[in-house]
Amino acid sequence: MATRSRFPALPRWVTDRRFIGLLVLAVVIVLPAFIGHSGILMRVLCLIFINALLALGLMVITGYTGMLNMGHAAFYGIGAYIAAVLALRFHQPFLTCLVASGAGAGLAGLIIAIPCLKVGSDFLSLITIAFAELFQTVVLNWMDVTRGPMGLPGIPNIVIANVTFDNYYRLYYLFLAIAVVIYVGLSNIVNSRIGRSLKAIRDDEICARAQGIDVRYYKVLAFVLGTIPAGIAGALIAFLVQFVGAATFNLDASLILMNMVILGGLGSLPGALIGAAFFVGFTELIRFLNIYRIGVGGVIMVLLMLFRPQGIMGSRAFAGVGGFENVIRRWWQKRHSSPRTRPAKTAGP
Amino acid sequence: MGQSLQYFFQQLLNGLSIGSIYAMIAVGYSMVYSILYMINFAHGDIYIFGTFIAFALWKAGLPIPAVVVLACLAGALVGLVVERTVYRPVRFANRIVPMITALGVAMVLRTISQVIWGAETLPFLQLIPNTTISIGGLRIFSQQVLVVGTSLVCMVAFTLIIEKTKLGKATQCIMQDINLSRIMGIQVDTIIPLIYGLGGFMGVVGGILFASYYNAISINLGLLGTLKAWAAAMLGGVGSFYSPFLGGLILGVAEAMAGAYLGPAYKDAVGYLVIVAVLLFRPTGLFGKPRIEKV
Repeated sequence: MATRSRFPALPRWVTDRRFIGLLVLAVVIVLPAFIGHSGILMRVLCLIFINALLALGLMVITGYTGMLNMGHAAFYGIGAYIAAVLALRFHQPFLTCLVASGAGAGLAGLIIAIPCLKVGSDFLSLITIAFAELFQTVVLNWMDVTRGPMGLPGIPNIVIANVTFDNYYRLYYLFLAIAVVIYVGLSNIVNSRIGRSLKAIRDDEICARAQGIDVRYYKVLAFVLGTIPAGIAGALIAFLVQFVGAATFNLDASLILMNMVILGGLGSLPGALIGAAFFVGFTELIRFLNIYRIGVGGVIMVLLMLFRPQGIMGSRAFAGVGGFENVIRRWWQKRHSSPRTRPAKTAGP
Repeated sequence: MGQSLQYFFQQLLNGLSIGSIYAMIAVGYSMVYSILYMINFAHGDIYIFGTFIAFALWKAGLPIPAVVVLACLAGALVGLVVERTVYRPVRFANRIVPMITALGVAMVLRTISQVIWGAETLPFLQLIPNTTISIGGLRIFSQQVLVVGTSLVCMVAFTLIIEKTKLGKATQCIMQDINLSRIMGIQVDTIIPLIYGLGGFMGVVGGILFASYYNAISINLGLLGTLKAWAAAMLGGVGSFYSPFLGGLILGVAEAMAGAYLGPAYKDAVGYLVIVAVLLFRPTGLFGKPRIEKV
């Protein structure tokens, strides 16, 4: 299924897409060398990796399986709180926290997936929102463990095999390594039989069932696959910021994650990465606009959806009819064609 | 009447008042949803924008009836404009596309409100003087009578519009099949904006009652309103006109009871638990008709 590369000198496994991916990876690896001593910029890049993990997970749930998960930030929060409590209370090493966060969020995903099996897509998004709100309520009121609105400060630095990750450069490469592992893993999964089943469910559930796909099993699987990276991202944010508070994981955060995935392009893992990088980077770029920032972001979201409804990397087929693309094309043809070649009365879309 | 029973009825009354406000906001939301199956994230911000306009008009010194009517018309106008500019171009695109444009519009409206009126909570006008009526030990506030009464009147008017007028019949046709309605000569592109406008109108009525009931207005009520409207619409189910109304009432009562007996911190959580519980047993909402999928 992999097409032959355009560069015959390269080994066989380097297809065009993988070539671009490796190129991007190479750029990302050498990037810190050009940034110099800007701590803030390195921190933003670390945040991009964390958000990329979240977006990758949500892409599996929403982009590949078509389930509108509007409570993704709650799984992120579960991961963060598990990591923080394990590190602060039980003095566990980072890797234990990371595994526990991923497992905890995955377990939560498994539990949430079960009521979600019964309902259609919009009711599903309401259930996930309800779950996220319940998570907020529990976190804000379970004083013994989460310290409620005060949050959990003082999470120690990451230590792996006697190496302390106490500066952004080390964290950057650690986060990059984790992101690459998860990306490659998810990419293999979505390009396998599992991924094709998920896409079939997204495109037509009844048809998928008729093809012999176990819809219930694959929906639960998608939820688990999508929430594990969210839990891992939670552990990373806990150790990066060294503080965990409930406000990081509210509904706004879930909506922003949904935005990343949709603007990046549903059904495309690179789209999730681009969406995350775009959103985090863009938020920092227009920070100087102060209170106009959210409005400018809204205008850009609207314009992007009107002119490119499928998102940056998504496929046109998924977006359906609509958007201004056809309007612009028709206007362009009208202006740049002589009356003789102008098509007579084109049929509507 | 026993002390605890009296407390119960008092809370029931509070719940009914807040529930009928939710219902007002949910009705417009549910109308649009049942036609286009669109998750309208801008609904809450449209109604709170209209409520802010009411606030500005009140500050400008207009009499209260004029304030209410003008603000509701302004809300309807905002709904119309938003439909025309950002929903119609992507109406037949994947459902997720208008959802995101709605979210974008919500962010723009929120920013406009914030720039003009600031992010703080502001005191809102009192529609009628605050008095209490006592019936058998039960204290009823004049505000509660106003809220429940207005929403009942609006619901009856709304039902009459949908059931009796040509606009309402056209709307019902569009709900069944939008393309077939177009073939039958229904002006789909006129009816749908009108429904958005009607939703905005009802939303602002609800918003003014809400702000007047709590004597406060803030831009943060926008997203909250969207969520409550959505929750009420889904709880009631899609397919009939009274279902979002009943859904709003049930949500309001559930929240008031949770706030009274478990503590205010658990108010929202219990509301959502009720929704999840209902959806587990009735996946299409309490009064919803299942949407038949054809292959």
